[in-house]
Amino acid sequence: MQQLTVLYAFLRRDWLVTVSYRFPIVLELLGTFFSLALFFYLGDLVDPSTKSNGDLERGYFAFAVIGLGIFRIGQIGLNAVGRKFREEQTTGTFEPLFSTSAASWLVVIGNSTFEILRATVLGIATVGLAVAFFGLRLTGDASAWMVVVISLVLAVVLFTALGVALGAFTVVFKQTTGIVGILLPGLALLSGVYFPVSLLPQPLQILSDLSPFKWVLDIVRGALLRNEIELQPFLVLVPAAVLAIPIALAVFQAALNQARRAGSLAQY
Amino acid sequence: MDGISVSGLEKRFRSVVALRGVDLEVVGGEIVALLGPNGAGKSTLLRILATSILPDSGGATVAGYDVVAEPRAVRRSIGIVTGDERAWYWRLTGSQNLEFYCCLNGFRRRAAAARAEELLAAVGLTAAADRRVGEYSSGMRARLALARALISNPNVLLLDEPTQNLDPAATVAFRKMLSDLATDRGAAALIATHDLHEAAELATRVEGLIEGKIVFTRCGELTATNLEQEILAATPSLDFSVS
Repeated sequence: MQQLTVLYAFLRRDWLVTVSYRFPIVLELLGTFFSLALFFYLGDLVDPSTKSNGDLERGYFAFAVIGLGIFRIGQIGLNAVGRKFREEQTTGTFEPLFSTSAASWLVVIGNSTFEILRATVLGIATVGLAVAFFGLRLTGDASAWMVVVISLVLAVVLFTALGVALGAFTVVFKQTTGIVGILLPGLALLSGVYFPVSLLPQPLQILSDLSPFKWVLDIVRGALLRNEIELQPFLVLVPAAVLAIPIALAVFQAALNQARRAGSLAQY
Repeated sequence: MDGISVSGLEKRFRSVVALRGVDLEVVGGEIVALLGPNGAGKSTLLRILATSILPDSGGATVAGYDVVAEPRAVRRSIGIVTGDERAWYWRLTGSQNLEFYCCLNGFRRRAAAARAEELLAAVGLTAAADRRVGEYSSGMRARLALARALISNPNVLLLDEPTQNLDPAATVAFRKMLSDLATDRGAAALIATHDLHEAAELATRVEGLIEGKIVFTRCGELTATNLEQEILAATPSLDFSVS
C-alpha cells in the first residue's frame, strides 16, 4: 500500500503544479482542436486522389485522427520520463528524490505517471473531439472496443518502458533531446501515423513491422474504423509490454548506479 | 554502531582525487564538524554517506547499514541537508513540498500532512506554510531544508553548510535544535561548515579535511581562533592579488 501512497504523492504534486498555471488543460485541448481542423481540411484535399488505397477507405481524416491520438500517447510516453528527470536535474530536485527511502523503481514510475495519464487522456480526447466536432464515425462493436482498451493499456505500458530506457540516458548523459528529436519523427515515418506504410519503399515497410506504434495503430484502426480485430500485432504487443518494463527498470537502475559512481547525480 | 563509521574511503573523479583513505567515526550523541577549504572533499564525503555517490574503495556504515550494500536502509536512517536551495518545487507551498517528501519517506497521506505541519512549526514556518516556496527567502528555504532532513526522525544527520543562508536568530535556533537532537535523542551529526564559530560552538569534535585527507582532529575546548590557526596551517596558501 505504501507504493500507492508514493504514486498518490507524485500525482498530487504534478496536478498542483499543472493547475498553478492558467488554463493549461483548456489550451492543450484548443491546440488539439486546431490540429484536427488542419487534418480535416487536409483530408478534403487528399481523399479524392486516394480512392485506390485500401488503408484509407474510411477517408484520410479518420486514418490521421487515430494516428494523431496514438502518436500523442506514444510521444509523451516516450518523452515523459526523460523530460521529467531533466526538469528535476535542472531544478535541483533530482538528488533529493533519490535520497528518500522510496524504491528507485517507484520514483521512476511515480515521477512520470501524471504525464502518462495526461497523454492517455489527450490521446482519447483527440479522437473524442474528432467525433464531436468533425463528424468522425467509429464503427467498432463491444468486442472491438474491448480490444482497443486492452491494447491502449498495453501501449501505455510499452511506451512508458521505452521512455524509462530513454530516461536512463538522461541520468547518465543529461541532455537527450537530440535522441528524442530523431526517434519521434523516425517512428512517425515508419509507423504509419500520418500516411499508410504501404506508400513506403519495401525495405522500410519491413522495418515498420518492428515499430510498436505500428502494432498499436493497426489494432486500433482495425477495431474502430473497420470493426476488425487484428490478432497478429496484438500477439506481439502483449509479450513486448510485459517484458519491457522490468528490462527498462533494470537499465534505469544501471544508469543510476553509473551516475552515483561518476558523482553526477546532482549535476545537469 | 548507531552513528557513522568510515574506513579507508577513497573517491576519484577522473583526474581529481576527492578522498584519500578517510577514516572517521561519529557515535550517537556526537556532533562532528568537518572543516576544510573549498574542494577539500567535504561534500563528497557527505554524499557518499547519503548514498548519492558510490565510493571507489574503502567502506562506510551509517546507522549500522553499509552505504553500498544497503542504500535504502541508510536513506531511511538519515536526514540530509545539501545546501542546494533550489531543490524544491517552487510552484508548490512549503507544506505541499514537505507532505510530498513525507509520503516518499514512508508516511501515509494523513500522517504526512500532520508530520509536515509539525515540522513547519519546528522550524518556525507555520505562518508561511501555505505560501509557494518560490516566494520564500533563502533563509526560509534553508529552514525548510532542515525540516525535510528531520522527516523520518533520523538517527544520523548529514549537514552540508546548513546555516549558510540563515539569519542570526534562525542560526541560534538551529544550533540549539541540533544540540538537543544529539543530547536528548542520541542522534549523530556530521556537519560540513566554513563557519569556525559554528564549529567551535556546536561540535564535540572537529575534523580537518584537506585535499581529501583528514589532517587534524581536535576535541575538548574548541575556539574559532584555534581552529582558524589549524586550518590556515594545513591549507595551501592562496593569493588573490590582481596584477
